[in-house]
Amino acid sequence: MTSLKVIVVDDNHTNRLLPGLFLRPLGHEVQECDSAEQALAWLAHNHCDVVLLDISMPTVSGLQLCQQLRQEPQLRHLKIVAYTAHAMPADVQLLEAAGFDKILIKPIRSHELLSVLSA
Amino acid sequence: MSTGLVVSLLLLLALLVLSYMLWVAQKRNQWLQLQANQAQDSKQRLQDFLASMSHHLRTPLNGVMGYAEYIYSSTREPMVQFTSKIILENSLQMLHLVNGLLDLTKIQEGSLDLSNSEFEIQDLVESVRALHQARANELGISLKVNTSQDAPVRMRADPYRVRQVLNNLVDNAINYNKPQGSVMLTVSSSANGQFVTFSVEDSGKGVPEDVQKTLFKRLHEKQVPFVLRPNEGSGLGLLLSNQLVHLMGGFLDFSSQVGKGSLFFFTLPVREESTA
Repeated sequence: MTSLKVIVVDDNHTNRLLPGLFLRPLGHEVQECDSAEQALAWLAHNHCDVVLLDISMPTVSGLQLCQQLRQEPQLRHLKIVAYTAHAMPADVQLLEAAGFDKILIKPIRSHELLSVLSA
Repeated sequence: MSTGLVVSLLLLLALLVLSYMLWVAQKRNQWLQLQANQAQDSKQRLQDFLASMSHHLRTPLNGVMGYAEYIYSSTREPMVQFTSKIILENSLQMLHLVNGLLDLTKIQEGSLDLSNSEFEIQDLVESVRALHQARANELGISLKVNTSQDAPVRMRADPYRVRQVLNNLVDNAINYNKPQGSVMLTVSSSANGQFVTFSVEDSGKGVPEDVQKTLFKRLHEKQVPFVLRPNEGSGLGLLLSNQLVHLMGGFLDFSSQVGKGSLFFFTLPVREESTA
């Protein structure tokens, strides 16, 4: 797999740091952000391939951020992955309809994370 | 009294009776609507509760499982590998319970999709045995598979769900057994090969009579906290198994004697095109 630039957006400290533990040793670059606002500021000045996006966050939710990112023409290449503990069928349908490319349901295993990135 | 007056009175009476009947019918409809709304409300509340529990259990589970996997894969220290693997295995059990809650919600919403494929029954049963062999060995329980001669070779159903039900029954048979007990998984044919019966017999404690009556009962709101009660079995496994078997067009039943053991069995249609 080629080296990817990944941003993890999650207000939960533990869950925010986890993907990086698996991805950095494989040569991927990982940036962690604790809010949608911080992620937007970072994305404005940095190239990114994949966004791992938590849904339930204070102020701006992952769903709102996804919809906002989907309206940016220069971010069309971006793969947006929901990184969420919402697992109900109705929630998953909602996320798919909102423009997420993939949905990773917590708890995640490293092989699931890697297969989502390579797909 | 003139005929005209009698007719008028009769008409008036008929009108009164008719309007009374209409009034009763209207009241009855209102009452039924109220009942239906209340049932819908309580179903919605239960689903909201399950969705919220699922979310709040998955969030910390992600940390537990993720970091345990990281530790396991980044060390060569045997004791650290051993202990982190235990954390992983235990959290998988917890995830299993959370997924059970999710399945239950899907069944209640009517959104549980069953796959439909043809598979070798023996392979599936053997994989179930293999999965539980280590745990059975650990407890000194003999776990055996017995396929009767008339048992169908292949069947058409959702293999994932058939395995889920069998896993649940075998898991119970092992966990509620005596030390050095036995578990026998049998596959046989019924109704001239149109149905296949899977049975799991154990030499365990048996199900007390008062529990037998409620073993497959639907989950009512009052019983929800049961699901979260540790150490005595949540009841979720059997409840789910029963509903899954029903969804697949079969039935699940059991017989049990306290102190002697239990026999749980379920029968499913084979639905094979040609009996090869």
